[in-house]
Amino acid sequence: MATETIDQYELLIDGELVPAASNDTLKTLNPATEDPIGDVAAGDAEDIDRAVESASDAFPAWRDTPPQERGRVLTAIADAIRKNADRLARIETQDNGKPLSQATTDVEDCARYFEYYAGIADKIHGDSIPLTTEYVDYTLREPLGVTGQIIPWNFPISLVGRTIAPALAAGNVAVAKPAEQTPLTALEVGKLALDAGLPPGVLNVVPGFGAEAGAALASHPAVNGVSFTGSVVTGQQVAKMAVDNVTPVHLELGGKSPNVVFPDADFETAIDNTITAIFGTAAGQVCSAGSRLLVHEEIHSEFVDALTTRATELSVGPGMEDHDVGPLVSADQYDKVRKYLDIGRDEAGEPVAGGEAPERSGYFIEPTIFDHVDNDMRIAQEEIFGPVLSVIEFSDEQEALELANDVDYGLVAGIFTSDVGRAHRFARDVRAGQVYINEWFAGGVETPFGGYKQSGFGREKGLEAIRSYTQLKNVCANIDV
Amino acid sequence: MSEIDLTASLTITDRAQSVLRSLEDDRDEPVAIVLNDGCCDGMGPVALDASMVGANDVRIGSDGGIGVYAPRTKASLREGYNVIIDVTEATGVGSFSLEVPLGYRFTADEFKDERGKEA
Repeated sequence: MATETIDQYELLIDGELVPAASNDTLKTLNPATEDPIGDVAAGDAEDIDRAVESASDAFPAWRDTPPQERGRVLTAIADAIRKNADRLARIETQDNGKPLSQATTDVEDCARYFEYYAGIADKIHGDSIPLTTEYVDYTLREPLGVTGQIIPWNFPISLVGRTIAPALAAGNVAVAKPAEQTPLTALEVGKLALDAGLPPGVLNVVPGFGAEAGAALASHPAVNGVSFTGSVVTGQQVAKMAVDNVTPVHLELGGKSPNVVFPDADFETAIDNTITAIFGTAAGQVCSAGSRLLVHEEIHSEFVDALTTRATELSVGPGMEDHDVGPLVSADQYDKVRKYLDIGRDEAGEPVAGGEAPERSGYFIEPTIFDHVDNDMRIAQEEIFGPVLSVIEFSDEQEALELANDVDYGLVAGIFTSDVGRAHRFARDVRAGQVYINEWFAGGVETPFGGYKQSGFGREKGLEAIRSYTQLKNVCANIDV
Repeated sequence: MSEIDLTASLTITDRAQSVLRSLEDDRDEPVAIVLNDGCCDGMGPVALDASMVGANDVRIGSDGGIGVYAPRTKASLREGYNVIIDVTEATGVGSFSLEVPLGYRFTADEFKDERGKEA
């Protein structure tokens, strides 16, 4: 499989492609082959300064652009992304490793975010508040200004849409720092956006290392809002940096999400969704993965047997060949997941499926299932972020709920049951930002997404993202003076 | 921040300590390591300014004056583990960890038996 040649990528600042001020570059690799696919300008604090200055200059005009016109530009960006979908998906697969069909879905998601928020741009408004007759009171929902998006590597192009489209729709300008492992599609979308009519400076894209470009963006005094998706420890750092400037932060910090299966569930639906939840999306490298399977004792053996059969049938290979499971994104992620395979063997014994890294180039890990896991084991509490499932047995609804909640995280939770009351009792009592009933990953760009507990705060997607990217002003007038 | 001693042994290899010292010299302040899990950043140990260690991170040990921390609820899960922090040259990795721009990444080998202790 020939690797598509992508030579030099530069930073996108003020509508121009420019090298990093330092002239430093970073290499991005194809995780299926470990071969470099591009040299990318590595921005640092000086480049972030330039990008923030450009965005600040662009802000007044973009803010004052009629909302319907902002919406038209976002619609044009969505159209441009769709016209380039095949090319973007191939770049994404080579950069990230995920199967081509999943990358294609992610590209469409990105287009859909721009399309969705294009339609919202002219519907962002405040309220009028009734007071006594001598007053008129109303609220204005105004953009924050310069917003910073620190974008992760697991859904690079999708998260460009998710974090940037609502910001621009609301009249903000943006400085995006894509992950150093997967910077290419963010730059591509930035270029397409310019061609689609987005004014220079409204969207700047500055790849670079987290400790340099990421930290500079999070701590920049002229940045008025920061969105970060990543680990708890880094999210805490980002929040500390931002709070010194009293800059609001949105943190999405991962999960260890329970997938609860009762005997009255549709068996095949539950099996299909359990596979999708942990193996069938980005090789399990997804914050909302169903990484803990809580299965009722009555169906435990039958369910795990069927699941094991299905997991071992999954094909593992390069994303460009569109296997079921692609490689992990990088050497460090690969090493980390292999470490957890050892920890899992120490804690729970041999896995019933997988457990090995195939002997080949690339960062591949077999879909792996550990059965008879206790919820206090490390493989039940720590986010492995790979194709590794921990199976925990429960005996009744109350125990299932207690196990579901007994982790630091609270991003998503899912339940498979035909008992409507049980499903909604679970939805009521589980501590998670999203609840899936009888379908894992249920929802869309329209549905708010974010965490409880250590999974973060703030919401993206849907109308909630507009609230995150705006600030409210109250105006109260005495009209009898 | 507090300190608990649940880890059977904690070693920072000489080469890892050398990189950490270099970071401290460059930054002119102490550096610490936080053992992280989860999500799409910070897959391995995260090197950060000691002043950035979280209030709920607890020190599980130190070597050569470098403190190693873990989130409080995750620290107790490491009871009985041997931890070896090492460093390797790295391309195509990333996180906010301070060594990454220098072309390195820290690694953590965690095990309960004698495996790898000679490292």
